[in-house]
Amino acid sequence: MPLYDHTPYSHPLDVLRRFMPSPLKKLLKFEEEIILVETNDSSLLLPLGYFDSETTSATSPAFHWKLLRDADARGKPARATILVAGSLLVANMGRACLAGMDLERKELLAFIGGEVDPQDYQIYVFPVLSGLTQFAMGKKSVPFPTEVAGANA
Amino acid sequence: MDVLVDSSITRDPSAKAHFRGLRHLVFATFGIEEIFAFDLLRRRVVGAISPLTAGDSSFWNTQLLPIMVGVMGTTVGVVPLHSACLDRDGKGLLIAGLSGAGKSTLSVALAQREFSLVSDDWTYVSRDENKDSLIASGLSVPVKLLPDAVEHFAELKACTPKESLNGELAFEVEATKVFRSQVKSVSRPHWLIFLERDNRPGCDFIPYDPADARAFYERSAELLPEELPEAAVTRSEIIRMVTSGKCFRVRSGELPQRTAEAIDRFCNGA
Repeated sequence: MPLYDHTPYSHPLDVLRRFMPSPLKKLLKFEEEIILVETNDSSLLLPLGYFDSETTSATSPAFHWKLLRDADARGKPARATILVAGSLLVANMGRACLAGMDLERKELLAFIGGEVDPQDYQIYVFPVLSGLTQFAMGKKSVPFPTEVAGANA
Repeated sequence: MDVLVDSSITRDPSAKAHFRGLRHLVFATFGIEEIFAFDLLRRRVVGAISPLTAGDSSFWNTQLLPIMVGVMGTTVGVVPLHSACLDRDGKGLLIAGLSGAGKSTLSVALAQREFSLVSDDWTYVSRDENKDSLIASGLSVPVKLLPDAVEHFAELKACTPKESLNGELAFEVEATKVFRSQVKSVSRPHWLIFLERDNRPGCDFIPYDPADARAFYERSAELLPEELPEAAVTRSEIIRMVTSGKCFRVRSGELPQRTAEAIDRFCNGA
């Protein structure tokens, strides 16, 4: 049963899926900052409890999240491996979640696998994305959520 | 390039590489835990792998190096072209064509003649130091031939096809060992042919308008994100230089060895 509803994506000249459409856009407030979230799956916007509130402010977003549901990436979230190299933070949770945070550009770019259900997302994936963002905002000294050690591989 | 070698990371030798990219970032994962991330804007690579993978020269030579050149090459002036390349006396023969046209099979047939094999699939083209001519490089990776190639090369009867990086079943063999071919790592592009399969017998050489040749390469090139405008410009310039000489379409309904013979004669006279 599909966990989300969007058109499957395939392009012979875009094997990396860089140009997968992300038509849903929302401005959200997170840790007192405004984030523009761009996605192809509304269920990735569901953990709104983590956000203070939706904002309609005209202020430019301080961060940009691009979250893509990747239907062909199979597997449940694995233990997160976080890598830091210069202005790049990378979080790998297997094919369930591949995320990169560009500290200079204030961009979080992530693929979320097709088998990540709302519970997995809320418990395992979203805290990692939040942790990367909090670190990028200088609100956390480590770029991962200490309360999440990992999930089932 | 920063690589973390971590004994807590496990290797999954059966896992196929998995690639994804967004804007200027590209991820390559191998199994669940091993990952490389490429930052194309800053030309930086970061990875985390197991000690087993770190000590596996085959991983570096046949997987990571081709991936790295393919992913990052354009940002440093090395343009991947989906073409085979052979060398004769320092002159490079680039063979382009649609997937399935028979580039690899023809490359092996040519490498059994007077040509040295540079690449059977992807050739990496850059400007030389003087910027006025081009260098075509291969990566010394195994030749990849589809299972039906055994009909043309008896040497393959002793080999077993296996699942390749892109999931295709194929022979992946060392050209020097299996076909006793000469190999070279670089050449200078001189001839450019576009291989087309034909049902009719014979092998025809038809002049190809450089503008059409250029359009072919541009059309079949990977889409680049707007974050990398210089890479797109560099690629177009290299494609323009590659296609600025004489280009030919080779329509062949012959076996690879007969086509190779015809190309050999053509290059002798050209």
